[in-house]
Amino acid sequence: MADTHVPAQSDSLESINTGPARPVALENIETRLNELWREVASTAQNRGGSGAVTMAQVLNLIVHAPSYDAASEYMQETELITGRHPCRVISMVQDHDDPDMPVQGLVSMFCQIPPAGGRQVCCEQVTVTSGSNSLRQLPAAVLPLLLSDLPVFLWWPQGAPFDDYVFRQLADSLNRLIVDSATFENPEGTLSRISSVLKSNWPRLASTDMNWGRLTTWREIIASFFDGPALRPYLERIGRVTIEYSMSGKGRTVNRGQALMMAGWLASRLGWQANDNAYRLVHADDQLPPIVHLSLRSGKRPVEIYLRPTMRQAEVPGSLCKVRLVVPTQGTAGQQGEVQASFEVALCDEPGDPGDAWSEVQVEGMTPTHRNIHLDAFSRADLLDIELEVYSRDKVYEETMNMVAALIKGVSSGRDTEGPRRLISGEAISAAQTQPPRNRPPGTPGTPGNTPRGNMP
Amino acid sequence: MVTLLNTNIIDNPLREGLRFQHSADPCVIVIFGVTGDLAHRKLLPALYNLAVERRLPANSAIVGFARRELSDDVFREQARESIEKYSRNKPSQRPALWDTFVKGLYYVQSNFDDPEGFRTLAARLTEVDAERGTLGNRIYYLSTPPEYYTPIVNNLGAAGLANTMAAVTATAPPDGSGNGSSGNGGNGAAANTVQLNTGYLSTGQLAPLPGTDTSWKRIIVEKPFGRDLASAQQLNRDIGEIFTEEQIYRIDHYLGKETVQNILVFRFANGIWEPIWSRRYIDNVQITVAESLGVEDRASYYDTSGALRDMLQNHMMQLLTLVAMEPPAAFETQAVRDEKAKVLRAIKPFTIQEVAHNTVRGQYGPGAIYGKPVPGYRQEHGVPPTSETETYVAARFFVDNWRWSGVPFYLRHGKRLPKRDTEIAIQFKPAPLSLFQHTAADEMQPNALVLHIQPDEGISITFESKVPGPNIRLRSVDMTFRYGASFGVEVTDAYERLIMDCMMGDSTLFTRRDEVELMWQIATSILDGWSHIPAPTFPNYRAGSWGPANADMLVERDGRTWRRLL
Repeated sequence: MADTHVPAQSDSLESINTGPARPVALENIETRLNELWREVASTAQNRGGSGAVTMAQVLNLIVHAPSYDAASEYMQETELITGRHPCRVISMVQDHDDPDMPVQGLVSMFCQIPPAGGRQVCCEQVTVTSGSNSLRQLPAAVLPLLLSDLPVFLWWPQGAPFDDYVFRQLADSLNRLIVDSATFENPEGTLSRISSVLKSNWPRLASTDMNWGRLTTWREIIASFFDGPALRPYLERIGRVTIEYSMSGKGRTVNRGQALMMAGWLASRLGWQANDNAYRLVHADDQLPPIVHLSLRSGKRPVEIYLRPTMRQAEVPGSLCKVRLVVPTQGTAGQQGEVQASFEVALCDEPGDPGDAWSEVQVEGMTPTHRNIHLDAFSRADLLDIELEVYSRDKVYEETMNMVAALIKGVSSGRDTEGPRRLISGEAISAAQTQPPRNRPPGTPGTPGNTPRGNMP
Repeated sequence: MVTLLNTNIIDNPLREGLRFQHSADPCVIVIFGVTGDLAHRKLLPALYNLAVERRLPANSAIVGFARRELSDDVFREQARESIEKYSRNKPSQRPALWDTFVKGLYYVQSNFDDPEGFRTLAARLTEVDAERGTLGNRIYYLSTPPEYYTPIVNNLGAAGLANTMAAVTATAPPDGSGNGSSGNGGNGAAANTVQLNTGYLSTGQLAPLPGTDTSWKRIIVEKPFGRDLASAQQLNRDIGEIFTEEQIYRIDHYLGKETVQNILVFRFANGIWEPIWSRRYIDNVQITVAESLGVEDRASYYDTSGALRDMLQNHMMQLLTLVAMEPPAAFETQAVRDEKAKVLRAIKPFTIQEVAHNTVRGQYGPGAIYGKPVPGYRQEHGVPPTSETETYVAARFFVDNWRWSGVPFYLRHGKRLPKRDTEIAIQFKPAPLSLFQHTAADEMQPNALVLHIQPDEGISITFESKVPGPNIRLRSVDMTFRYGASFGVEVTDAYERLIMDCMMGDSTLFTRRDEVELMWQIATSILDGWSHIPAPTFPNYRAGSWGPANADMLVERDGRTWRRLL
């Protein structure tokens, strides 16, 4: 019942690490892990502790990585949340660009020590690698490593997994899939498929999206506008919504994932229906990608939603920067219609804390209120931390995604696969991305100069 | 845990699936004794944290009330300093946010027994309602020395501040000097500027008409709630004359702790414990609240209170009720409190002879804590050198019902014990027959289930295991679940949780009138007994030890021992 989310941080915590992951034959992984538990216990004892190590595992977390380097990066992020989610992390590397990468396992252990010098909580870290010629063996290598009776999460940090061979083999064993639509090459196309693909193929698999997690604070603030009885009636009369989103910091990639989910959330919660061909592009500014105009209705009342790109830069492509809900004066419509009430939340433009924001409510005949607020900026580890607390389906998310699918039906049939990001032609201007040199895990035959993870004890 | 629907909370479809399904009504929190330690260390930081995390309705206000002469500005500055020092969210981290928060802080100077001060308060509250749109909703927080509780309550009543209808009639100050704001009595003169809110913004058009006011008034009463049964009953009567039981929130911050709330979840959300949670399998229950600190700067209060009143009568009895209660019919306020009260009713108050047999008191002498010498209680600053106040108490209780008959509940609490540790240990009966004949009998330890409350919140279970080797040798091992708090992750502060519950109108985690009186009935029987039997010679335990030798006797007489807390 954690009311408060505290950002995942391990800076202040002492840790024990068993050093760089060591290669081990797949059939010996469990044995090796047992040895590591003993090593950790003895390290703890040498440091003056009681020697007791908490062996508690609450879940399995499979992490998909397109390269060994990426796997190391993700593993470090999972270490930040070890204390809250003691688990077995199985990082599965599918290196499509390395045909000769063998299927092999590497194991290590990471333990967090509470500040008071209490006992450790540890994560077992297993990495299983595969290359393009061996990836069909990967599912059979991963499945036996799952701890029985514990929920299985799959975190797919980059792109969408639905067409991936390994994912399709594992899907029946999973409880919850975590994707991040901020990394989708074709967010519209993929988001429109998520609900139908899951429903038809893996109806029991719960899924979520880190981009959905990024909207939580926005949703809370927007909901709070309408908590009181005085303003609650305006919720039924919203006729126009403007959602502004940022470009990616690196290129100027367009990703309307968050904006679409915000629109889908409002529409599904408030019972709006998408009109046929609801999605329309409006070219308003030569410097910017087009605005998306979504047309919906609430009963007979029209509702317009505009997804507007801004020049504002953000680390996560498509991050929201403003949401404005407008109740038009009766009889006026369209983007320029007269306003009876407006409810707005936006990030501050001035440099400062990136979470600084304001909210404003203006209602005809009332004193406007303007307030400074703070929007929590969640790191990927924070978002993962939050998602791992939920074991079941998220009905509100699923209804949102159904609505997103209805809003963008037939717009884009592009599919997401992993690999280098491609941009949708005509929609984006992007800096060329270069592929960094690839490393292989230690012990791999023909390993080029690889960089072990800097996590020696 | 339990969130009850408040009648003022309306269904907001956007709330579905969010952390908080409902939000509280905006209100004014009036803190009596706001210049005191509790307000500055706990209450103001808790309110600021709630504001930062957007749980406090944006237009809520805080009115400090105390004897010291302060302006609003000085009060605001002092609040900022304390929040900066004691809160996990610091004003300096987010100045813009602080600017918004600080505008809702006000100060009223008065003695607690001065009716004029309460008339000033009433006028001030009316202004705040107009300025902030707080709709006449109030929480009165009694954070003063207990002798002021009754005068404050009486004055609140006299000033018409205690209940809804009275509040409506009191909105026009008796002397007619309303400073231009006529309040929420329905006067439309200020309609364009008055913000009568409800959630976010407000409107003068929605000012309630007299008689239709739906505002609420609640009062939070800090401990100590009385100093024996008679005074607790009197206090209940005094407050009850002005406020209804539904308006009264007797705070016990232990109940706001995550682990304490988890006792109920642990017991009633898991199928495996309930069948063995009775006299059939449980040998005894030990509740320990060990503190390594001495009296610190609380000597003047503590010396008139002592360990029994300060800890056992309230916090420890609450822990006992949560462990021993029957499953409630529903997870609702009254159902939970009914079951807790039933446990207390099943504990018979002691006779004088029983007090001698079932309780132990102690007072620490000089010793050492964590290797550093510390003075004895009588040498502490502010403690009379001949003080007979107990700093240690241990007691053996029986809960006389079908579930617990014959199972002793051993409670112990002391200051200057070797370490800080609060836990509830459920000791199970030993295996009925030892199959391992060549094993030393004392190697076999009965199973224990331990609920750790602080500092390392968590749950552990110990069981016997074979030591690897050719011989059968047994060793107790434990399996532990630890809360986030153990790993440096902060959990919601108990005060934040409880203030929020009060704002939401959920009194599950507060103590009901009958509970508080039943707890005092038991504690008072011990106090009476102590006054009739010869007192032990104090000091009778060394600082840094586990208490007086008699406390060990209390348990060893039954063929048991206290758990060793390592």
